[in-house]
Amino acid sequence: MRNKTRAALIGPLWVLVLLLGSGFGTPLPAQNGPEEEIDEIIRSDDPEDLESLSDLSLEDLLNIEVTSVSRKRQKASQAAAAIHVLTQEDIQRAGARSLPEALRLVPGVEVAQINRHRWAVSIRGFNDFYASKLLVLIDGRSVYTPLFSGVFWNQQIVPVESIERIEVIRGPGGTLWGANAVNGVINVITKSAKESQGGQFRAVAGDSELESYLRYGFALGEDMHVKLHGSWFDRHGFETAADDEHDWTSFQGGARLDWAIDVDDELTLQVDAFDGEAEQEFSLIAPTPPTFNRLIDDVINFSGVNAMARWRHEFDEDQDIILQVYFDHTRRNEEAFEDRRDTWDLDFQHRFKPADSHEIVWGVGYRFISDDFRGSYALGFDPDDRNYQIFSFFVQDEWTLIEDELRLIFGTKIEHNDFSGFEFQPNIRLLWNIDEQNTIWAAASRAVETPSRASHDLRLRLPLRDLGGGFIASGEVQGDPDVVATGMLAFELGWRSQPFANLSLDLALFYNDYEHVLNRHNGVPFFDPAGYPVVPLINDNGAKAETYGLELTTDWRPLDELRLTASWSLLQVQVHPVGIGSNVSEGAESVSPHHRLVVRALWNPRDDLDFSGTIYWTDNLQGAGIPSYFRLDLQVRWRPLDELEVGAGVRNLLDDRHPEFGDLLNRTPAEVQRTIYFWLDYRF
Amino acid sequence: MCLAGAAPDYGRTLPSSTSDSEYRVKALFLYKMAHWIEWPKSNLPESAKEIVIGVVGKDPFGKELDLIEKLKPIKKRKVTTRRFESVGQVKDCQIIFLSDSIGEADRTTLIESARKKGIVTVSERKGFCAQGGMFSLIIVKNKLTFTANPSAAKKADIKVSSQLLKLAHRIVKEGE
Repeated sequence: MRNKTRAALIGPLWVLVLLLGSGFGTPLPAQNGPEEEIDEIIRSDDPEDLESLSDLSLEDLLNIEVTSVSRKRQKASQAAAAIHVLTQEDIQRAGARSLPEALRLVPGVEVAQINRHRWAVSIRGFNDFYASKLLVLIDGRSVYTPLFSGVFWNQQIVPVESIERIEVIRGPGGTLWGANAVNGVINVITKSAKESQGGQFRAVAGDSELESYLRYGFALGEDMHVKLHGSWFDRHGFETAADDEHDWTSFQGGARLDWAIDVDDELTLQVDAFDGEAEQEFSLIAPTPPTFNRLIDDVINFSGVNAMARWRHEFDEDQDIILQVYFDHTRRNEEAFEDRRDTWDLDFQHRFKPADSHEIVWGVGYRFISDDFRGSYALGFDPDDRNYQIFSFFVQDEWTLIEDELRLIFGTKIEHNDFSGFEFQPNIRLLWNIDEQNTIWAAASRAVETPSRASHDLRLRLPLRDLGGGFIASGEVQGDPDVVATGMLAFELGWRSQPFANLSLDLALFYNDYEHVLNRHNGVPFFDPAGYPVVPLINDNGAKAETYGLELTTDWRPLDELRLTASWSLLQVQVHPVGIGSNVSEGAESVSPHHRLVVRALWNPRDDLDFSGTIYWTDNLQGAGIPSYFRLDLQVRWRPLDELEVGAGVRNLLDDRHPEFGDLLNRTPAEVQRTIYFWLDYRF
Repeated sequence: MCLAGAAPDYGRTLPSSTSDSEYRVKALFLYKMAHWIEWPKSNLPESAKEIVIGVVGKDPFGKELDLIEKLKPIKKRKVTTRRFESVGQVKDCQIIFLSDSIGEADRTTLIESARKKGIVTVSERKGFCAQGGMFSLIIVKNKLTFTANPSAAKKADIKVSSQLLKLAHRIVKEGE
């Protein structure tokens, strides 16, 4: 608990700020008597009060708030891709407090916790702390860092209470989503200000966490809604054999405005800021003989601010345009480096129907990234600072071949980046609704992983170690300016079925063929001026790989109050280094589990009381020496009042602790412990 | 980059238990509007005992439309419903609701023939009135409202009461 003063002090301050701020604006007035009555008649399943319906005035009719779920409901089963949607309710009932923990529930997504604040997250293989093949979006803002094309999960501070849903697409989403959507897209969508009216306070306490969330939403007139929210947490690190500390604290605050300007125009403005600290320990090489290696106790300081504006104009049902612009600033300071990064992004999208059977979406995007990297003896980039830009264009046509039965979706994305030039990412998909209960889809696509700063510009000196036969040397990982993009051809097949109203099945099969997978070859050894030998490990694209597997999900509601879901993910990874490469890339074969199972039971015996149980079973990681593990989570939730909810849960009930991933930065990862938690949620 | 607002809204995998009141309200609107409309005698003679509300194309109402048959008569005429599979079959009705499944060409054809037959045309498409349709039902801020094109009605010899028109969200002049 050293040097955590800033987040710990600032944390509670936002509570004060929000409480002061909540005096502004007025919540929507409560509905009055007659309106409630009409509402009841309108919503009753079998209205018997036909007289009242007949006598309803037109004014009353036009004043009723309508709910329309039917049109949107169809779409999950109508997507020609492997998609899974996590709702706010799914996340809460799993007791997940961070994005990676929520993603454990999703079939095909590998989540391995390395320590309290680090995870390795990937979809369909190539998992690593530096996993690099995912596009992760939070409200349309891309959050993977171009530093290594991966995500610093410990600085993605999104309070789970603010999430409306997380859409996860396994497989390439290249055509519409663009850069880095190779193995999948994770799209986090937070609640609009309109859906966040009134106040919410939540406090979570447990043996390893203390957290709070406060939100207040109000209306400025009928068409404009505002929400202010803030959150703070202090999570304790898991115990490790070496007594390493991995505490993680953060505070976050934001505001969002949603304005329905008129029937055709919507405007969203959003601003968020975060600041936090996370502890880590690792070995680092320094130019100080005789040992050179130093064990570092470090605190990562991270902070950021981002602002986004999005305007949507609807011409009619068949045509709309969206314009979005955002700015994102992040700063991360560790013992070995400091990275400051500014991103400006502008996107435009236009959807229209040139004919009844065609719906075309096209768009253009521009992103400008400016980074300022201050390295150290052990870690550097050449050049230190870089400005780079990405231009992109996409077009897609959804062609209805047979109404309600057969659709062909095809399109491409063309992107230009400063590292590998033009990249072409086409895809074609076919969706066939065989009957009311069954849908089959198939897809072939190409996706590209753009080279990152690391694959291009990196210089990382590894700690000294015995390379065999008493030859003690350091390695130096070096980027290669000639590195090309990793390309992938994906073939997918899916089947969705709802044989009974209370049972649904979703099966996806995939075969991915990668070329130019990142690998390394040894360079000519040299002596560092400090006096030790160094073997260069030079990045190249000298590997090919195939992955194949399936994900099967079932969702069954045997009773109104009971829901059972299960998913099974199967994965095989084969890597083939080409030429004289080292076996770096082959490691990918053994860092993803072959099998993963997630089984959930959600039981709601009463309106005010429910229970959840989740079982996760993950196969061993042979290469990393990680045994398979079985995890059971339980939770109970009670709402004694409309405004009040309390609950308790335990994670990893049957197991004191278990490891989930291999070495990181030459330190044994922490093992995931059993944790218990309680919470209280109050609405006002 | 697919923008978040336009990211496919896949919704939930299984039907939610929330009741879906949109089409009940729309069905009731079709029933209620009949009270404020006068049809040409050619389509609704004095002797007519029924006002028929038709739906053409894929029916979005389901049982909600049948509900209005149980309601009180309007101007002493019983209100009944009919479903038509295709635009060519539409006849013997006073109000026709064009489902979204009706394509552009069929829509134009029906607007034309409804004018000749004195049938009130209603759709859920925003641009319907600009295209020559008479009423377009739209949801604004979670409430039902409508756009009206009284001059299109007038051409069909249909009189729309100002009581109804004053509730319109927008009045469109044909050809606008």
